[in-house]
Amino acid sequence: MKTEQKKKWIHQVLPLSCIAIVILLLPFGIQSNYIITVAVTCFLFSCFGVCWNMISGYGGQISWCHAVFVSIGAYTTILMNNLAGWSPFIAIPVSMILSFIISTVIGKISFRYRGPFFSITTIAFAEIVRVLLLNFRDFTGGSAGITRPYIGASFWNLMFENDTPFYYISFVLMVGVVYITYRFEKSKTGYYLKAIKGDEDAAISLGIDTSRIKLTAFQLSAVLTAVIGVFYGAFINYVQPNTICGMDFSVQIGSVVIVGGLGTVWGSMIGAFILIPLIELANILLGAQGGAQLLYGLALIFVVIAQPRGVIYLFSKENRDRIAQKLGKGAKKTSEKIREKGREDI
Amino acid sequence: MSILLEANDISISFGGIHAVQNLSFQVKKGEVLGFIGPNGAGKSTCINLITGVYMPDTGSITFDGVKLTEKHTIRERVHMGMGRTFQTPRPFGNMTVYDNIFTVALQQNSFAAAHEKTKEVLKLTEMEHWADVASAKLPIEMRKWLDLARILANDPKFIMMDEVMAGLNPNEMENSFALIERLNQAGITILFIEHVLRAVVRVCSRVIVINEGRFLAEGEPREVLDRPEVIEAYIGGKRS
Ligand SMILES: Nc1ncnc2c1ncn2[C@@H]1O[C@H](COP(=O)(O)OP(=O)(O)O)[C@@H](O)[C@H]1O
Ligand SMILES: [Mg+2]
Repeated sequence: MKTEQKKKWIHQVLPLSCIAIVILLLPFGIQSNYIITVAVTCFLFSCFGVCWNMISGYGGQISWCHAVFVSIGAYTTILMNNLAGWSPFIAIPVSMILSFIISTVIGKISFRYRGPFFSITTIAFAEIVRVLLLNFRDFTGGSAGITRPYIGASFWNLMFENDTPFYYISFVLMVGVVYITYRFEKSKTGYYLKAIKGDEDAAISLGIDTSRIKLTAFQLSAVLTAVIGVFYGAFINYVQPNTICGMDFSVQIGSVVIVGGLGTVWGSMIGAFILIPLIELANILLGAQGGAQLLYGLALIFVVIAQPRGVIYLFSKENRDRIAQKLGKGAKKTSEKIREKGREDI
Repeated sequence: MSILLEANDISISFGGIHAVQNLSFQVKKGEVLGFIGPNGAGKSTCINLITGVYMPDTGSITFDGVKLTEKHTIRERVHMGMGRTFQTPRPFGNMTVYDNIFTVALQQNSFAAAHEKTKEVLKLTEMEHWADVASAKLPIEMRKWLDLARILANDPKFIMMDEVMAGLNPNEMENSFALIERLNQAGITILFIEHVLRAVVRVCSRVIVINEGRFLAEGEPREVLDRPEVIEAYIGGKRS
């Protein structure tokens, strides 16, 4: 028991604390606000990924409407600010309720059926919302979008001179959602959800209420995504249906998790820190016209072909064992070769 | 012995196929009832009717004194005490053997109690040394046992086993017989569906034979299997 605790310290607590300290100190060493901005985007996309992973990774129910939940958070924040001067902190409960209602409706309709029905429903729904946002121009600004104007730094308004405060806020958010997912994974619902992904018919035949469990996971995922969406809206200060509520955005969230590793807590973070900088780089090098899309499309194809379980697999114990075995065999082979060669020389 | 399950004149058709026709039978509390018939006789369909996967076109099923209706979903029937295995085992392939059982045990237990229950089930099924193995990597006979072990985590009154002996070698079969006897001694009523006749003689106290969805014979296993109509159904399938 004691050695196990020691192991846990050396393998988990220690490296994690080191990473956390480096992350917390990083802004002091970086002068460029741009790099901080990219880092914030990475943190926030880690959050989106972690939330998406709850239903799509653990439960195997692939959602393509998470952009809608992000939009709910972001639009609520900016609209409340512009129309009434209210703080994003008031937008949080409002968007939680909205996303809860919407996820409940989608879930109730689609989780009764099996297979791709849920995914298709989410795609249809996301398109409907995007078109609605485009058409209610007076309220949403239509395709021109709406901006939240800068009226001076204030924490209550989540408005700052530079992005360093957001760096810390989004880091805390990431730790928060990771903690929630971790607890979720270890909850009864988490176990049932994994069973559903394993074999839904078997889960039903053993008494698990599969539609309720899928619904709960989807609701939690949606509500958390909307909360992060509030901060995302306050961070970018500009929303436009085709970007924040488009299929691209949902796909980007999914890609982050798929690249990092489906159904794992760390996978989403690794994926975000690989994909987001890559996209930024592509935008700089190739221009914002689709270069980024091309790049992460290629990244996705590469991962799916090279390691379908995601980058996180490279760090898994299974992979380490495999490499050790390979190296062991390789070593044996070379030693045998040397021996044989020695014989020849004689 | 009192009656645990009663099927009364049940029928179901899929398109033109009359999978089960006017079938009636009873399962007594505490017995191991053999349920046999050639391939396509309607055995698996009967399990699906009892567990609620299908509703019968006509007739009714009574379980533990309750007449089952459409309101009794698969899930509800499980919590009334039913358990079933699948002809092809269906483990939760993304989990270890331990977690497969533990997940099911969580339904009626707290976390601590579910761990106890899981260990108890692993011991009963003698699967302790498989506990940490990924269930996707289990050999076939162990998958069948895992199906059973998972059901046991629900503390069922009644288990329906769909061809658990198929594909096992004699040694593995012997182990499975011993397990079934242990379960029966623990008070669980068993509906033992089988294609392998030898197995039925070994574990069942009573046997029902169906053919082409219809009742064919019933009685003491050895005696029933010697009846000409049963032999004919198995060998020829050319009754007319
Ligand atoms: N869902 C279904 N749709 C159509 N036909 C079915 C279905 N389920 C079973 N059947 C048919 O019903 C008959 C009985 O099948 P089954 O109960 O699986 O037989 P057994 O388990 O005794 O081998 C077979 O002819 C089979 O093809
Ligand atoms: Mg069958």
